Amino acid sequence: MANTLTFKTVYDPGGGSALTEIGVTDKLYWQKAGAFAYGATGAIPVNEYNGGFHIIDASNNELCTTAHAVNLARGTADGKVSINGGEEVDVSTVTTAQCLNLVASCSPNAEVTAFTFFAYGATEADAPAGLTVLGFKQGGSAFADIGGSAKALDLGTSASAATHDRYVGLSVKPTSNGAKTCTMKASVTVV
Amino acid sequence: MCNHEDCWQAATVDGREWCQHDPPLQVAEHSPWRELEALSKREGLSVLWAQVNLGGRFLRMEAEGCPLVCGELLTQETSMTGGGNVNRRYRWVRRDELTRRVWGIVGAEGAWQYETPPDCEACPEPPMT
Repeated sequence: MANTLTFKTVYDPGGGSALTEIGVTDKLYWQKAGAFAYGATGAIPVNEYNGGFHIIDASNNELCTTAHAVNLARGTADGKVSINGGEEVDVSTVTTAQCLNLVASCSPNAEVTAFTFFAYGATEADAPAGLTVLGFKQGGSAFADIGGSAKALDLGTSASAATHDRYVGLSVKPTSNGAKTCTMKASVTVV
Repeated sequence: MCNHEDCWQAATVDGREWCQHDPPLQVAEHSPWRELEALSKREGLSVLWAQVNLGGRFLRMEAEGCPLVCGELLTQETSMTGGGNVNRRYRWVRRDELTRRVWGIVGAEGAWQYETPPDCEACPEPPMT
């Protein structure tokens, strides 16, 4: 069996809240606070952080209709986060169930010698245009800008195992008007 | 039975040839490559060459007196525009020289060779096509 890398998050697609793989054509969608609203009506104001986080399909329909993925928004400092609109707390208190889950599955068992994650725009070297993407590794103490390959988040090494989980929290801030997009990229080296 | 389409192969100085799927290298503690390293250490051997095979392509690297390592690189890209997730998988073989690491990489789109500093653990990523 070949080694694989998958991207998951906890949400409820209708059958109960569970760690669910982001489907091949599914998208992550951040919006302002409030009910799901795709497009301009859900737009995050310029220079503000996301108020809602949803998983949507290729036609922009909400998939997390019963329970949304947890929204993590950067607080008043890089070390602070608001979880689902609550009062801000330390980033270090965010749990794995509140994060995106990157899973490297190895058959046979293998060790991870490098694991990185970043967001990019036109090319891998470029930050997303008009959008600041912040991220942290679960257990870490602060958000950091992860826009562009040079700013990739180091997700660390791990000993030989069948699966290697990495948990990542993300928050976004548009810096100009208009629809924003980016690509998330994870890379893992195994031996 | 390995058809050598998706695996690594190697030879040790005693003339034996190895494949990732050989039963003696299948242990729970670590990967077959790490077991080959452990076996070589136990028996006082070294690896002469190693080759990675994937998708009908192969790349062999000679040890030239240096340690060799084989592994894989996995990547996933998730587009926010709905272009779909893109997963890529590569096999690599690496020669650890004193002043550099030489990487040979094979994937679905081709084969590549890179050099990195000697402390680099992340496999360089081939360009997207």
